[in-house]
Amino acid sequence: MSDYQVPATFDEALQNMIDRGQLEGAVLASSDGLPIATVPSAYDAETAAAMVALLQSVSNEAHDQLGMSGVDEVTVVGRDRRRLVCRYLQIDGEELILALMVPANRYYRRISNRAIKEIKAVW
Amino acid sequence: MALKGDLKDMSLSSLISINCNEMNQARLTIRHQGREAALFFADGNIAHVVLDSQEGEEAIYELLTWEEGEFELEQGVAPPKRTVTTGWSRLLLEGMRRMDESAAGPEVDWDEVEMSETDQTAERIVRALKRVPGIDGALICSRQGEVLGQKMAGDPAKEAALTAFVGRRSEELGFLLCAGQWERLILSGQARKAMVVPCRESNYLGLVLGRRAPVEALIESVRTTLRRYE
Repeated sequence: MSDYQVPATFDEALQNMIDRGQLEGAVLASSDGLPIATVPSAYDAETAAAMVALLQSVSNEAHDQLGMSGVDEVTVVGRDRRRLVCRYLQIDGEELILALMVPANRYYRRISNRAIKEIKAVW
Repeated sequence: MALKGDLKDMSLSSLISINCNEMNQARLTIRHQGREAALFFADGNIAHVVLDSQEGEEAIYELLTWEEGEFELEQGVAPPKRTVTTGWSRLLLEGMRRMDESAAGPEVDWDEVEMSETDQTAERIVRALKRVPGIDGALICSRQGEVLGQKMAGDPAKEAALTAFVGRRSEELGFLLCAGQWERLILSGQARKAMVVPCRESNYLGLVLGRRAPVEALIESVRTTLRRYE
């Protein structure tokens, strides 16, 4: 029998995702870029907020300039193959951003789908 | 032992990003055209900067414009005082914004300008890429958004403006993520994907892809095509 428990906090949901995917870090932020939860907690919150705000401006510009509706993911890839992935989710009409720092050669889609479900459960 | 180098090989933005991310306590001395500057790192940020008689954040913005100059990094040196309180990432972004503004040149009547060699190469690259299955459109533009070559179904000027905007944002993100070494940005929408890649002499390549386009396979085709025209 599984001993899995639904996380009680956003931090816990993010920590679970990081552990499962061996990711570097994750940030859950509001649509205006304000961090709601950051894991690991020692991660530079100001840098995280700056990254989320930049990604959000890219998504907004795509929407405004091209009518590229429903941008659901923005990914920046470094030459070292590290990725910053930004996924968008809506809960009760509230738009949230889940940003992940993904090391080279790690998968993130399935575990972040699961984390989004857990975040919705916590909400 | 001190690490020595030149800003031609490693930019100041990269040095700042690395030292702050690694929480180094260190002094970075830079010499450029007879002038000398020192940056002190502590607790994951820049603590103190001195350039000639100038101290603090304004000095950093000037240093960020230096594209060459010998540097020396000494670990374990404590800052003599604190003249910088803004976080390093915000300082870099503000520095880039100022450089962007100062780089904006006079308006050019593009109809009057003959097609340059750069434009001809750009046209060849986008034609070659448009033939790759999965790529629905391709465009090369300058950092300011001028179209250098395009094979697009939509409005090329609009697409170029977006490509340049996304490219500049990607550079900023690259400094925060990986010391400026960004390779591509991908926007995934419900109907299509778009990819922006840095290319040739500080320009950007913008690609429109199908929703299910295999990005990893396509990036290899893009790299090969760009290498062919380098």
